Amino acid sequence: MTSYKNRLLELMKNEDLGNNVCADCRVELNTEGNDNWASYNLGVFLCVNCAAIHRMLGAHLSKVKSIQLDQWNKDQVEFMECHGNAPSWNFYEQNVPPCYRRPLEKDPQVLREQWIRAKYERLEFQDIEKQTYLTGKKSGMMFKRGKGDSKFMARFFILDEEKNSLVYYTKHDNLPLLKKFVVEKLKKRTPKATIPLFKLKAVFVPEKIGNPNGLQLTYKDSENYTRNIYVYSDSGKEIVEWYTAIRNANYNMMKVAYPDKTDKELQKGLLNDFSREGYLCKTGPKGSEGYRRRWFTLDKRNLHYYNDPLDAHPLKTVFIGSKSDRFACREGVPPGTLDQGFSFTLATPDREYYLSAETETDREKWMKALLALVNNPVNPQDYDKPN
Amino acid sequence: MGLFFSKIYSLYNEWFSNGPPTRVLLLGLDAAGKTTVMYKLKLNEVVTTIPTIGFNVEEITPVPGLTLTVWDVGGQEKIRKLWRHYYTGAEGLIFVVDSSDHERFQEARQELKGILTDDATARGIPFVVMANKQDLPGSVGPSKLIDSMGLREFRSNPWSIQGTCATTGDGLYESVEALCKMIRTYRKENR
Repeated sequence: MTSYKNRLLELMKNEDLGNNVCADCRVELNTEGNDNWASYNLGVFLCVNCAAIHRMLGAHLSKVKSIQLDQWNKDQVEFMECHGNAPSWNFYEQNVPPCYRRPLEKDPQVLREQWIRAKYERLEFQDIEKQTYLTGKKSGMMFKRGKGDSKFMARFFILDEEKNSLVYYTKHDNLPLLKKFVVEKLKKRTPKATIPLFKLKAVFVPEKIGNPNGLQLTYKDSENYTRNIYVYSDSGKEIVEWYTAIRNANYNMMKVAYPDKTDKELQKGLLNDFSREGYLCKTGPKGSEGYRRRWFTLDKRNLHYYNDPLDAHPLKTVFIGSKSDRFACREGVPPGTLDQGFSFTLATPDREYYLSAETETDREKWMKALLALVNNPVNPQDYDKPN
Repeated sequence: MGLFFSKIYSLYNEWFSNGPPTRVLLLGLDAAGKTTVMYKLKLNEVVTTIPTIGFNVEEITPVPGLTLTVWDVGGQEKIRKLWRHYYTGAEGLIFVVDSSDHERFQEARQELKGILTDDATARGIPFVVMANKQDLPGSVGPSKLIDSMGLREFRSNPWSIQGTCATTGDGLYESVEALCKMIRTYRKENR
């Protein structure tokens, strides 16, 4: 007789039932490994990271067992055989809006946790009424980093898709008590800043901000300069709702812009994370000055660099075109130029940038990201040139 | 002031005359919240944990002048067999129970009994039960858990129980303090 464990492992090979991937983050499960998990009351197979969140939900919602490290009984194995991932998707994911970001393996923890809580705890994707982020309106408090003093302060934000804007206010007596009429009153005042939703980008940057719910909002101000705002909320649910509301606005605009594209195609164009971020050292145009450490962010074809990772404005933004326009990226720096190790050169028609990474792998990753851009033709939409 | 210092001195003596830090085990079924308890006590932070395969060990100083070496060992069924390697030399046990997981109270009881009656475990060592996850719907309070787990039958060990919520920290220090007191008495009696 096959052991319960082997029956479960066999079941995990059933691709029609989707049991070969994690029910939540869709990472490929490895039956050879020792790290396979399942919820035996939901009847789904999970990776270790999603299993960890299922355990946080409490045993009244999800009962988690390890395939390899726990004993299973007949009833539990039979239950798993009658269920599986795909049936659970039909039930718990019946109405996931196209703008919702389903977390993948390497995504920030807050996205993974809220996705799982939304699915099983709040049953958010069974009832469209619960998806408040689709209404085009959202207001509430977030902590925003001060531009000058770098302290995070409570600010009141209002997102309004009709007005195509996200605004925030600084004066906020008794913020927790804010009632509807206070919001109305606030709306009559001038906000501290008005951010056009068009091309507003939101990216989770927990490490950079030092908060698991840290979000970076990037947009072009009225003079077409890149401006960054750093916010967080104490509640993971709140911050993901803000994120999704911004994504939804983004999605709605894209739908107008590209009426013939399918949801799948539109999703690809939705707010993407930065291709790459991190410290590099750079020297001046002459290549003879000392190297300075800068924070680099590659956002599509724009390479920004900052003094400090949390600066409001980049020191400079370099547009990365294709090789047909004389852009190039090569290892090392020209002879006679100061070399600080792990160096590479980014050539643009106006200037050559001499850069130095902190490790070999770091250099490889940067060059790979830049070469991907240089080796591809520039689309008309990519001409989002900075000032 | 003199009284204060003499009190400190006697406390110091009581704990340090016995040499190295006190070894305490942190055990319980899988997903009871052991690792979350451990790091809430150690760092006062709620860390994101994944199931513990193997163990975590940390030194915790719940009251000044008293250091506990806490061993948090994974609770998955097949790793429970490894628990007994940690029993020797342990002077106290924190047993964490998920108070909302009614179906497994009996299983928890069996495991607790297994630890206390194992040959490697010192006779009559004190234990504290953390009735954890008090914040979850359907969780039972400590007095109900005493009945459900038949704790009154554990007559050969001093024990105590405390409702806890590891994510907020509620009840954690009270549990550890209660355990420390029992360990102190236990040491005096077994000197």
